[in-house]
Amino acid sequence: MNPLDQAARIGREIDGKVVKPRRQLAMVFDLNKCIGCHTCSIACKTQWTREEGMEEMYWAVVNTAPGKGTPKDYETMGGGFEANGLARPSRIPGREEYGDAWQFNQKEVLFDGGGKEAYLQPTNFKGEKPKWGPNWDEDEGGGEYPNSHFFYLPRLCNHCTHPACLEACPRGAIYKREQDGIVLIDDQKCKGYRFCMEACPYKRIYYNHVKLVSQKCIFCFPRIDQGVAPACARQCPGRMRFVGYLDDENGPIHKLVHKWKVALPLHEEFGTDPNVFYVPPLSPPSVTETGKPDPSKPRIPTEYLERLFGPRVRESLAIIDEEKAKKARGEESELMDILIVYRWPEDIFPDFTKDPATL
Amino acid sequence: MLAKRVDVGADALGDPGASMWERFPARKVALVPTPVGMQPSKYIMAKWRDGEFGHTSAAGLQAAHNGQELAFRLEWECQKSVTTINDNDQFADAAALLFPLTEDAPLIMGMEGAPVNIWYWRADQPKMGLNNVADGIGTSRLTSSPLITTQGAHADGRWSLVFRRALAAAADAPTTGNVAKFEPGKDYRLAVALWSGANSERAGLKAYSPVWVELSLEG
Repeated sequence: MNPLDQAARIGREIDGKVVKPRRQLAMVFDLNKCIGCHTCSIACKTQWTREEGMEEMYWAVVNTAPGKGTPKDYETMGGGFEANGLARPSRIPGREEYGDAWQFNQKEVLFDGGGKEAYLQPTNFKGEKPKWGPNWDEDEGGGEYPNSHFFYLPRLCNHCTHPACLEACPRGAIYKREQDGIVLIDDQKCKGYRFCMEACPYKRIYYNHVKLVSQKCIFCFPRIDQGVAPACARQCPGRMRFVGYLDDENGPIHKLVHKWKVALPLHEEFGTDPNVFYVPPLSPPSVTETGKPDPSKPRIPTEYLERLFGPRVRESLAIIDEEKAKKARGEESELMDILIVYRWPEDIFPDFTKDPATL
Repeated sequence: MLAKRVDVGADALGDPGASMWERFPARKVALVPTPVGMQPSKYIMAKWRDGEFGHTSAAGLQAAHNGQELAFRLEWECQKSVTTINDNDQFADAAALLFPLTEDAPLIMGMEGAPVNIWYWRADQPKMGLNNVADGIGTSRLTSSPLITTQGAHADGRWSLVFRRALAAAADAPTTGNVAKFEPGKDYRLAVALWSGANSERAGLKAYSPVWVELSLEG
């Protein structure tokens, strides 16, 4: 059998195009509402990654931007696709780059009477003092006072339309669900080769050193299947995580992405066509050397936002500004009403409103 | 090559350092890297397009049986062994033997309707041989039986490794179509593959024997 037939048999075409699912689930994160509380990360951790071998996994993370992200400097590692569709080589980030689960000397300090002389100290999986961890650079941000700035950037698997992980797997162990485009790793087929971790440009895949398989966000598909929103979205106190089908013209996702065009993918140039979109953050005016606000320049440099969310950022911010002004004048604004989320949960994930406690 | 009938117990048969193996010469099996164009994903082809893998050019192969158990001993050069995986980017050394389950099964991982049986060993799980069946690239899957016992040793820049299995295992296996059958006095074929963990070799990134090794089990 030639390699093309072979590849078709194991679930995807060799040119990286996958069979389009009937519908595509997506998320929109309104970065103006993220307070960086990490409740999403903890909701996910509690729900899915509590088993042995998953200690260091945060399928959902909240990075500080500007910042190095999780894993450290993931944006510079490659992966995804070139503009001409060729796969971009990358590498597998190490556990220190993700930030592994540290051990602490509790016994010494708390139980063996060392508390007066010794402090709690973390050690990493190598037994060394950690030099990095998830959110190591939290709240550092960028810029110089008085123009220092940061915002929170929640990240998870983008359940891409053109998933580099799926294309890279030599075993066809990764697939997109036909009914909603959720990207899943079949852990019965996965042999832990980790090509997916290399190929994913967002580096949102972890390796389980106990089960010897790769693991990642599953878009809470068992909850989705019962009409319950993903844990990260339902638990979000900021109500900034919208969930729904991209083709649902009455739903918030379609309206934010396609109708109002204010929600943008992260690093579209990675070529994987992500299905997580971000409403970029507004910011107060920058301050001149003499201490005067300069309304022509936002505190978060637009050039920086363009590096993350592409050239449409200016347009998107302008639309938000305009609609915000309308609302301030007491006029109607569908966009502002969507972003405010007056009614929870029906306005934020209309198809997944069921309370998990009632199941 | 001949799988000699020897009068030793299973423990000696399964020990790569047993003196028994010194009694007959090893067959030198030539190995080549798997072709980059045969790698089953565009990513792997792009990353490994320089073909810098599968550099182990030969393995020594011996076979013996004692009427109950069949054993294969592999020996190959490996200056930098990897036997544990602590970090995400580490891969362990590995080796495999491949047996066709039908007359026409292709040497490269078999094909639909013409599967192959693969005995797999990995240095980070040294005693656990894994029985796989495959019917094409990217299709290998573990089977719970039969038991493949392995024992590897690394010394002086060389691995020596023995795979051992009950001769009659195919008869006992629940799905005998997935398990190579062996009977003394008959002829078989096999192929060899080696992975160098230090070079991040795994999956199709390996050195393999591109022609079948003919095997006769002494009666």
